[in-house]
Amino acid sequence: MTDKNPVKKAVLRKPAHLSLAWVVPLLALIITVMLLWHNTINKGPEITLTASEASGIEAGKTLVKFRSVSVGKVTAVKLADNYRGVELQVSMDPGTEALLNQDSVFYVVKPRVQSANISGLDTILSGNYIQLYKGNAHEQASEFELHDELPADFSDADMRLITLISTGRKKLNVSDPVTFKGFEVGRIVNARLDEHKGQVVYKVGLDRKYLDLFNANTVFWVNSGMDFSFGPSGINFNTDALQNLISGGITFDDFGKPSKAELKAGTTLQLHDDRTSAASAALKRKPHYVVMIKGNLENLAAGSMVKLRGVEAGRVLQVPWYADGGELLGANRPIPALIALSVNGASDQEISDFVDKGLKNHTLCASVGSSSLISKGDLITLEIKGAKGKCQAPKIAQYRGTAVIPTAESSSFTDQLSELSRKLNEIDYAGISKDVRKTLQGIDKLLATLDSKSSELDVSGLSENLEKTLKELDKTLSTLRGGADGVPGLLDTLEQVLTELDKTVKEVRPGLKRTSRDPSLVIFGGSGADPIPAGEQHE
Amino acid sequence: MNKKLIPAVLLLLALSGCAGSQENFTYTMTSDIKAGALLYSNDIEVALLNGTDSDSLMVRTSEVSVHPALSHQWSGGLESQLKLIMADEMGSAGLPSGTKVTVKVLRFEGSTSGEVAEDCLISASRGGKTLFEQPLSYRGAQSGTGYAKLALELRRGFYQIASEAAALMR
Repeated sequence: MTDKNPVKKAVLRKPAHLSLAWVVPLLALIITVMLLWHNTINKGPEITLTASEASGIEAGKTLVKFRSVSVGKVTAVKLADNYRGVELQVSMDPGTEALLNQDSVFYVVKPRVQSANISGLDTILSGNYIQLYKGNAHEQASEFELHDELPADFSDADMRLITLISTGRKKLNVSDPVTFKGFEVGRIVNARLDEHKGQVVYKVGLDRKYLDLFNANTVFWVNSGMDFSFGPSGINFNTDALQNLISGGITFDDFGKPSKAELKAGTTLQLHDDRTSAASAALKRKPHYVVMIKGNLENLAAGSMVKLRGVEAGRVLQVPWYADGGELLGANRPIPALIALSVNGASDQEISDFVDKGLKNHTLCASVGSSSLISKGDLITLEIKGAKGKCQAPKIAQYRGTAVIPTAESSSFTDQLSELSRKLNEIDYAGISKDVRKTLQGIDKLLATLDSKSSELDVSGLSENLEKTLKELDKTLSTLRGGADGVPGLLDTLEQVLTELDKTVKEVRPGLKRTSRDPSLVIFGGSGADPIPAGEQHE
Repeated sequence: MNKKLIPAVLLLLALSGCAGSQENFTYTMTSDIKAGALLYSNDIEVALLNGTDSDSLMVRTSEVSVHPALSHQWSGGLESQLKLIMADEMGSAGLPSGTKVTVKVLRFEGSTSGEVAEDCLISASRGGKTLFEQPLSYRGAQSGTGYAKLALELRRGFYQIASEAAALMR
């Protein structure tokens, strides 16, 4: 008999789970792979920064930022081998190789309180960080200098760098602004003293957004923030934006003479001390002429105005403009003044043609004028003579190669006043007879009587005095008319003087009216021209 | 005496010194007036009311302010000029003798925007009896920029007013 249902043998199978003992090696493997990935395969470039000191920089904490994005971290800080600086090891993030051009710039951003601004406040909480500015060089580098501030040769895509040379006494600081109508359009990125030439060289970064404001004729000057001047036109007191008031800065203008040529990067220009010298400098490319000043120079100086028919038409560039300083010692030698002419809306050619025509026809003269009584001889006035009065041809047509505009006698009010004063002094007052004095004494006595007895007027005394005075006046008048003991010709002289006085008073009547309306004109000068009534625009 | 006279004269002139460097212009409206106008001028009275009683050309600079020009003035006085123009026109109106004409000028000015405005009240009376009273105005625009053009337009305006008044009185 066979067993139809044989019993199957049991097969023992081992469980398929991994031993716990493998967990540890596996974790170690994963960590190893991660470390390898992090430290070798996914590792960015390692660079070295050298600096004079490592204030506020900590290994493992201080970040390197580019456009406010972290691109690396300082991994080690150690002293240089010669102990004269520190070396920072920086581990850059992967993919940042393109930032490490040879001319890339690293500098430390830390809280700075300067006269012009306060910067880096964010670093108070976050700690100092290193700012990276990408260079343009093709070559790459792994060692860089860590700057404390932006270097002089720094260039940035957002800025156009120019150089300004200052020989003045006003010092500006790095980060001081370049302003236009109070807006910051650039800033000083570097300042250094050139001790050999005795000048300060400022590297100025102009914001590219505002480059349209600049052109090849732009002139820069130090904006002290506060402008105070006391001159013939009165007291001028201007202040700029508060930032400039505290720190000063640089401002600029082309003085209405823009150039189509742009202000190129790397241009070196003069930084003027003030607006007046800048305005004069702006005219240096304009037509030049010489005016020979007779007599004393008075208040004429470089920067003084040149007026044509009362309108500003240029400035005095230099006075005296001697070819040889010894000329001053020569008797009655005129003092040469170099002037530049510039009229808004007129080209240089038009100005030259105008002057040439005036010189040729002897109709253009120059004279020294005054803008007010308190400032005599502080401007040059160009006059166009009509058919009646021609200008005398100058003794020399050119001085130092520059055309000379003939000088005419001044017809300014102050000179007329001086002349009148001289004539008054020439009158022989001593020749006036005793009767005049007696009459005046009588009037004095009468006035004294009126004054002392104003409350209780002594009519009888007054009448007596008045009668006496009138008699003396009558006697005086007969004397003046050429009586027996009169002074011959005295009446004629007095009439002449009075006529002249009357004429002068008529001439100055408008001035008197102006003064009565605005007495401050005497001290502060004219407050401005009359408003111009407009007309219809005819195309 | 000379000690007192010289400082006094110099002070007087010094006070006017601020105008020394300013060029002053004067304008006239009576260049075409016939000499015969003087015959009628005694019968005409012109009163410049406040704001026009200046020898300066007046320029309105805002709704409430007028500026008497410092350097642009009427030669010989505005009042006498207006009187002569009015007399010139009245002469052609053939008014009966003894007629007294009064012109009260309320407004006589230009403006910085170029508008010229003149307002007058013109009345005529004889023997204390008012025969005619009419406000007349002129509004115009000066043809060019500057005080010379303003003076020209003011002159044209007043001639128009005077002519209109003469026509109404005939």
